Amino acid sequence: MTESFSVPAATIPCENCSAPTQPGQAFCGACGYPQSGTEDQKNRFRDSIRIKKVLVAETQKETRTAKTIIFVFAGLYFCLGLFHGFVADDFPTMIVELFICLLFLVLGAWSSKNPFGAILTAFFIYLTFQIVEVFIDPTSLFKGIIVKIFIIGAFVKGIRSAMEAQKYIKELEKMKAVRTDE
Amino acid sequence: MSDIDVEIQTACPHCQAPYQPGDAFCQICGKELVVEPRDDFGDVFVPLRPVLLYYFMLLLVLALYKFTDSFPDGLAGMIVITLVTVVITVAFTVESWATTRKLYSFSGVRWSILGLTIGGAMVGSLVVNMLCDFINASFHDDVFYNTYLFADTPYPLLFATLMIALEPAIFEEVAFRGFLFTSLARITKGVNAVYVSAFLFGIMHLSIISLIWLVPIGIAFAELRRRYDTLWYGMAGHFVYNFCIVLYEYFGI
Repeated sequence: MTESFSVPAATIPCENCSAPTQPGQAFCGACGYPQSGTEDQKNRFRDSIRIKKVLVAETQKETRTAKTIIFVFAGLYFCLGLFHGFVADDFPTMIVELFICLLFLVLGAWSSKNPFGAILTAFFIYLTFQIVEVFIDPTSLFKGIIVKIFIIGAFVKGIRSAMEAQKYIKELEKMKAVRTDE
Repeated sequence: MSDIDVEIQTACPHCQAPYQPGDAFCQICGKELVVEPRDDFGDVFVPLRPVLLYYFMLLLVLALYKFTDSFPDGLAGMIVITLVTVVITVAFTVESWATTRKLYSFSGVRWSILGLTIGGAMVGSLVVNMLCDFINASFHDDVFYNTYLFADTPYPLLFATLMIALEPAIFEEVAFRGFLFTSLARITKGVNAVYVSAFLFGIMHLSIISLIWLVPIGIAFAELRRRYDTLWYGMAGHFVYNFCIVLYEYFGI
């Protein structure tokens, strides 16, 4: 055991992640690539990376609705703010609505970098707004109920898909197939 | 004997072959060396359940307090709402004790970081106070900073300190940096847990403009918790921050 440490290293870079490996070593210690395996085994490793990348791309399609809703909210509050400020002369409301617009823009920007955290946060914020609205005016609960259910559904689906994406990205990171900051 | 111990620690759990320090995969069998405790929670909403439950329970109670007449007026109402939130928070803390108890340990708490946190909280409270003056917002919009409620009590400053500085410093930290953060960190990267818990902490105060300072404050305390795995820095910083605001309000700064 101690001998393997003292052997002067004439290392070769791993074909997958370029980490130094000993010639004849069965697997790369950094990424698990079958260094001395058959061509078939090597292909299986590369395929597994490719499949996971496809799956990540698939989940990104499914989070698109939730991301779009976040930007739609930003636009909606922007228009509402302009309306209250310049048509209704209600500047305090305008400030609040423009600030909410900014909040959703921040969440939107975050969602392209990290869908899971952003969509989860937007989901909480949306529900909070809805609940507060119901407390202020109980009849508002059923106003646009179909749209509300659609939005909540899209967020729930977005959170689930983003979670899936997170799992695959974590596995890809282990296989050194993506940069760790992604 | 000790030789065997060392060997057991550095042997691949799958094929028992020794491995090089720093390796992630076994060079002999190719399997992963560090077997993480697999979090096979299935649906993501299962581990999220305590987060959703706590947040929306608290939100309903606070919204009842802020937007309806179901709570008594003035000081009595504030005492009741405080007691209700404390009971809910304690219940969730007990429920999650197994995973959060390490956060309450004093070992590893460093005076230097504690001092920096307290200093930062003081500076932060000054900045927020100036910002509030500038945008003409009031802490009174926030459900929690009703210092005027204590004006008629025998010791206004003492009661305001207990209810506005001490109580939130303990129970908001226990919740948002304690069990909520821990639940979130189970399902996502630590950085994500920092941001999500900070936003939850912010919007729970039910005052939109306050988000300008509440979210950064939440990020700061959550980052302290993530980095040092303790709640004490957050609690100290939170207390000092809220206490400074109580002082500004009390002395009319």
